[in-house]
Amino acid sequence: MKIAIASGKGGTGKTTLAVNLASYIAGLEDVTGKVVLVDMDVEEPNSGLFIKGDLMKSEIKYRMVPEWIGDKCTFCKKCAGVCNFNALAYIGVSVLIFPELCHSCYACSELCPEDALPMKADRMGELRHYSISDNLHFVESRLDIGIEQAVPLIKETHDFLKSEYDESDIKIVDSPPGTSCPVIEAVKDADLVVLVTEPTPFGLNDLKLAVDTMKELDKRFAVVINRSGIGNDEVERYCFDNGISLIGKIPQMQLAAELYSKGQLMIEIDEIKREIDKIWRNIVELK
Amino acid sequence: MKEIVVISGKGGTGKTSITASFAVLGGKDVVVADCDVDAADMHLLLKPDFAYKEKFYSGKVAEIIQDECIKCGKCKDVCRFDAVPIIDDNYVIDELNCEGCGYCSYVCPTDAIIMKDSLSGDFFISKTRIGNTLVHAKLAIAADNSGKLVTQVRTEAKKIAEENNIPYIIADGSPGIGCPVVASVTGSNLVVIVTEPTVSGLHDMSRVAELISKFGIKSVCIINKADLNRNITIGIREFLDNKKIPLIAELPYDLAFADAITAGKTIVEHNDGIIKSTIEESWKKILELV
Amino acid sequence: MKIVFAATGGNWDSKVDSRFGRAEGFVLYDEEKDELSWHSNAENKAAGHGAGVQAGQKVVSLGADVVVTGGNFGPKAAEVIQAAGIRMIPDAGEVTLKEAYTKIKK
Ligand code: SF4
Ligand code: SF4
Ligand code: SF4
Ligand code: SF4
Repeated sequence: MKIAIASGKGGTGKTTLAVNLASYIAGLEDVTGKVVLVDMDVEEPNSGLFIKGDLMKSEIKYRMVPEWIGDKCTFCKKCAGVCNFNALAYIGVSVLIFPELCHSCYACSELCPEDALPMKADRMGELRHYSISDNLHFVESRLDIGIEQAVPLIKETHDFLKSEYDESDIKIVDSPPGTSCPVIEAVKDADLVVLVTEPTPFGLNDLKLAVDTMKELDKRFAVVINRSGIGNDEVERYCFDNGISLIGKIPQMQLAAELYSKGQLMIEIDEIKREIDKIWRNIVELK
Repeated sequence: MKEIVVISGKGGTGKTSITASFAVLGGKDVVVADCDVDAADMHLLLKPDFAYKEKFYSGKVAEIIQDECIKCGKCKDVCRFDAVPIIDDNYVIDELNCEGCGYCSYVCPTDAIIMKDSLSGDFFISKTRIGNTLVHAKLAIAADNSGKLVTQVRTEAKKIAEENNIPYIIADGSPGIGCPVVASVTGSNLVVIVTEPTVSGLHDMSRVAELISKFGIKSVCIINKADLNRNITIGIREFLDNKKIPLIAELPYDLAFADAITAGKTIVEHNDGIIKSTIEESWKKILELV
Repeated sequence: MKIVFAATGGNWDSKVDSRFGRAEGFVLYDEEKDELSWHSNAENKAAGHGAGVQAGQKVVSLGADVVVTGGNFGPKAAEVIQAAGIRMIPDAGEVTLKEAYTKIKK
């Protein structure tokens, strides 16, 4: 089972829910199989600040980018203008490649008549695999600074999950925020997407964007309200009016904010633990 | 004309509430730019009239003209993004997967593939309820937030400021540390970093500060929710001291922020106490420093 | 000598643009011919990522010896321009092309 936790915007409690939910269900007796928390917010993975364990494995991840072999180049100019992403500059005396802009489409490489632009592996980031407890694992992928393509690393992370875990293991995915390509890649093949929002006009606005995205992708989704108690009931009404399952409300508590600030789990608070339990039961029912 | 950009690294620090307050305090002396195009929220507080709207295109997407296709399959062979499925015996483009690289159009023997501009959002120029101008935008779903839309928002705001002799632009910057935030800050005069004393807040703000210093732009910092975790607040102060970034204000953790948003107002219009005066003070400092 | 300015308009009174990759356009001044020409950067301004690379390529193709911008070039544009052996003058400030040119000549 794969559950993706997402939100229209950062800072709504997406990471909080992912980390607390994963930790909570790993401690349940009726959960067989492994629980794995996966941080796919590869540009700014933050889950690791809340959950510590032993590093089992770290893998450098690569993608393919062309390399210019000056000796082979006949300056035929065929590659000039081929790259739609400005990753290749033909400047008469040489050909420059900007790996961080390359989308690995292979066009320049395969269109070059002299084989002067072979594709080679280029580092884009690192995947780390931790053991937190007997049945809780943590996978974190981090994009190198300066690399602009998040999607290939997210793809690699999905592949890693496939190779390491079974269908029956529970994967909780902390997705990147927003509605753009990385989110779409991160929620791919999730059985259910849980959208986290706050009960304010900002939260409602961001939630609507997220809901539109899920509809466009034809994804099953449900909503969790974080910091319930502040703001107003418009988010709740929106969910009700649109037939969207609202599967939990994590209460606003100063203590919770303080625990969060220290990088600690909120399931230490009973009230919140009960709500996380309810969210989990609802997920099981829905997926 | 001076451009002030407010950023935060991570979300949820109160960046938009503070920026909108500056927009109100600046009044007719500012043009407001919402560069948080992924999830723009400023309009919820400033109630713009959406008077001018324009479609925004960015990047490319392939399209196969079926009448000219001889079904040779070359496009499907070269596409590295699984974007050419065969549906009802026809080669078609899956727009959600198409990366817009154009490789297929290079190899198609009959030139049956055209590369169209891909629609990636809407762009608006509005009058706000306080009477100043807001330039804002909305990125389309699954669009690539490359910074181009952000650049367009900033360019337009600049033009309006110049034409009307308005001395300041106040911009709500993009979140994160990627391309959009780079597009929001390059060439600006002052960056205001809004952070909060949490482990992730500190972590993200140090990455953002590093990025800003690379571009050689002057920056100042506001710590929001400063009393939430005294130890981290002290850590942030030390960090700022080291980096020679002036700390211009510390705001308390206060539910008044959420209340103001709920009332559709900025925090300076909603609160009469310490929060209001602190934000007013920081706006003054910003105008002195910029 | 051929000098290229990142600029907001096509004459001597136009301002030097503080951006490079996403500048409005480029003005080429050919000293020998005493000729000023405007080259719009509209398509680069509209580029998603890598506007700097494309703008750099454009300046190279204009045959510049020196290139001037009001702010800085950005790392990618700088790499392209440097590889082509063109001299870069950043930080010209918010001045007119005329003022910038006079300053360079000094
Ligand atoms: S296509 Fe190949 S041979 Fe031709 S200029 Fe480019 S790199 Fe050189
Ligand atoms: S592989 Fe594609 S994206 Fe990369 S440089 Fe070549 S043409 Fe550009
Ligand atoms: S443009 Fe590129 S990604 Fe899109 S269909 Fe053609 S080859 Fe595939
Ligand atoms: S390459 Fe051109 S002709 Fe061949 S299948 Fe594709 S669209 Fe049709």
